[in-house]
Amino acid sequence: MDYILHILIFILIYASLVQSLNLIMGYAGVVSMCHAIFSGIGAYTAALISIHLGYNFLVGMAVGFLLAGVTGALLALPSLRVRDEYLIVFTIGFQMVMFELMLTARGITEGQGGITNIPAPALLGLEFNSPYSFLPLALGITIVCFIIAWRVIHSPFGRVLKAIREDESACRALGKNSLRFKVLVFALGGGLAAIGGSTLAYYLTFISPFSFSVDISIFLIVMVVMGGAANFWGPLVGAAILVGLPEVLRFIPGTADIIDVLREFLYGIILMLFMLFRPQGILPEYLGRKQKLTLPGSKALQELGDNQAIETPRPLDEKNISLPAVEIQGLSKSFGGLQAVKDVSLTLPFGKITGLIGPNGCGKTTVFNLITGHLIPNGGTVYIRGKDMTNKPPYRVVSSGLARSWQDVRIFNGMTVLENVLVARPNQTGESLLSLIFKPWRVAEEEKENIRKAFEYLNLVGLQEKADQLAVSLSPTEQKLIALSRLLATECPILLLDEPTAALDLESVKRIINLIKKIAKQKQKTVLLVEHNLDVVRGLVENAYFMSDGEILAHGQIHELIADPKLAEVYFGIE
Amino acid sequence: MKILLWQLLVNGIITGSLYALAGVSWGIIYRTTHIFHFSHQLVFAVAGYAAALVTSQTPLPFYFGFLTAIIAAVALGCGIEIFLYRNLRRLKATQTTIFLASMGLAIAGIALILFFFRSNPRSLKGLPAIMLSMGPTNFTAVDLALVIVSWIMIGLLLLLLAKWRYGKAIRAVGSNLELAKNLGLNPENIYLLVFAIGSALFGIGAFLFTARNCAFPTMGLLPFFMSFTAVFLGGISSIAGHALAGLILGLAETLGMIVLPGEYRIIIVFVILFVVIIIKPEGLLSPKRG
Repeated sequence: MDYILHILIFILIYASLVQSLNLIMGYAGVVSMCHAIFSGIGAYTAALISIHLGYNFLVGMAVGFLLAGVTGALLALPSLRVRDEYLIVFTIGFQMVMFELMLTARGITEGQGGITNIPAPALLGLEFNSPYSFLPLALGITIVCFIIAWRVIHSPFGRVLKAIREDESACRALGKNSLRFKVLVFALGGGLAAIGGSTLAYYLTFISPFSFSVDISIFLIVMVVMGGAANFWGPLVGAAILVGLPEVLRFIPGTADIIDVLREFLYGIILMLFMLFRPQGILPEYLGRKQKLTLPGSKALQELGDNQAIETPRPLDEKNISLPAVEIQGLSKSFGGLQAVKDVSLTLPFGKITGLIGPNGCGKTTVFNLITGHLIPNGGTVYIRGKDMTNKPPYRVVSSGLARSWQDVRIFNGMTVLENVLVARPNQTGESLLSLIFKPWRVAEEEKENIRKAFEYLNLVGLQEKADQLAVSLSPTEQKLIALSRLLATECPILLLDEPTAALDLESVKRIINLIKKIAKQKQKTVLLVEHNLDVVRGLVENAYFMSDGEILAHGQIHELIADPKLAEVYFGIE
Repeated sequence: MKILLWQLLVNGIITGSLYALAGVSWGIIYRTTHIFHFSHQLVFAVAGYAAALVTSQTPLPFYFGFLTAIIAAVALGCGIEIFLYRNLRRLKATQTTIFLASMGLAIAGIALILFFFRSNPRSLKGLPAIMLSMGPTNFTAVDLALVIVSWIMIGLLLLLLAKWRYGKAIRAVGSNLELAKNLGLNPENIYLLVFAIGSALFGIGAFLFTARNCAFPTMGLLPFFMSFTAVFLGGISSIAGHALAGLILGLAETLGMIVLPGEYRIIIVFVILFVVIIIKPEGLLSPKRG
């Protein structure tokens, strides 16, 4: 009986460790190869505090949580600044370094032999010193970890994490500082792993470096993958199977000698086969999602008529009209020896749709990337609503009121249509981890309002019926519409549209042109439209800039530009 | 003290040469395919065991071990590309998925080696044991061979990439896949080619490593760790950078023993990587992006 309890406790502890890694790997989509180290930091901190200071185990856990959280953030900060692959390198390196330190810093960790005689935890006169009494404690701790994870996953914060996983630059283009989210999830994941690690230390009353080796880090990854990355219950399933499996193996005669090798072999094979045949794991992310999507406020929305969906336009702010919405002076960019954009200057008047036309590869999209901070210009200035926004990161550009769409759509495929639009909502209190805990009501209120708004925009493009479907399952036209309503949901007054009708059939092109027209007029948006299709441009804009080979060749009324034989020559490549 | 310093320098060059070879072998694969080829360490172990077994179980001379190591490495490396990575790419797997699958294969493979050969180390047989000395320093003929062979191979690779028709194709596929496709190159063939080249180079490294030490199940772990560290340290797109970074890592690891106890060598390596990436994220020899 004790043996079964022992295994149950292990499953619970591992479930919380795996859940903490699931936050990082499943939701944010970045690999951490040193998760065992985070739990080790928790275990050693708890052990040392309990032995040397004699404080209650909750103190040890809390300190471990903080220490591992800070470590996670510090580790993630420099590596994530570069590119995600560096994180694999840094975390493997960190794992090896810390393991080495645990073995060699004998003054603190007692080296290979490990720390023994960790006092059993006690609370309110109860002592948890046997599997019987420890099981409720382990259950309690695991439940707390799962509740925290639940709160984070089902919040605006968790939604941004998923958006980062799906397409980081698209997420940044919606005004999210993705680095902040990734660093925070590393801190939280590391902290929760420390709680799992300290639970292990208190249960075994003994720890050694070998409980926190790279093998354990990989073991945790296998559990996340097998249970189902980004599924809330996946960690429990993964931990139950993979902790339980070697125990079952013990009962097969003749395996006693080779059990460790066999276990390693099975982990490896399981990991590889799951990646090949079922990368979503046993429980896929959106399993049973359909029934859950009776969202608060969605009924009330259906009562909203089409007309009500669009607000009456606000009167234009007088003092803003006098300034151009966007003013660009002398923007330049070269890649190696290639000058992609040469001395481009353009002005977007408030409340108007301006076109940017030119042959393929003339640098239109590069101009977009320069304005929105996705590329850093070699020279020139960008003023948005009178403020200098040159060289500012994308999320700052969005908060100054300018958002962009992408030629290749870049919706978040693995999220629902509604989530796609919800992510884009500006200034969400629930994107702060502290507010999730300390301002739950405000977060809930805002979420209701944001869902209402999101439905309003989905209604506008006619997608409200499909709100609960995965974005990837929709048609190309519908995906463009998701992108459009996502862009509108940022509430930015200035929109940069990059070929909104590219690769669509004529019917859909018409539909989207009319939508853009309607929106721009009713919501008084300032729009810069990059377009290759001249019919689209003609239908939408009065004034346009003509670009070729990275330079603005002409600026004027669209029908004049199109009628100009010299420009037509450049455009159609007639020599 | 001075004598010790010279000896450490020599040891650093020997280790650094192995790491440089490891770096370019992993780097050519990574910069071309963008696969975080975790199973590279399995390739190293299999090549090392193959060489040790051929020389100890058969009467064949030691250079047959050299050939066997290369053949085993190329067969395994290309096998992984054909049977694992190609299928994953066909299933539209993400880079992370491919990385995890590769890791799974490496773990399972090393467990198999451990199962069949237990943890007893195997050594190469039939090698002449010759001690050499230069000034105050001592080294073996194998050490000297390791340094010479490693740098010849690195030089050869750089030459191939610069002059050979397929070398140029490799660079094209690595730097701009779409453009390379438009030029009529089949990336699948180029991928297979770089797996063959990278695995052959690492196989040579494994033979030299086994000749110097012995073959054991986790023998690939440290050279593999150093290989990708060298690639990120040197700059992903620069093969010469990988070689230089590998040499630096080897020297740092060995010379670091002057100031820190030997157990801390991995820490020195990691600190170098950490500092360089923070100061110069694109690596030592890569042109600044953008």
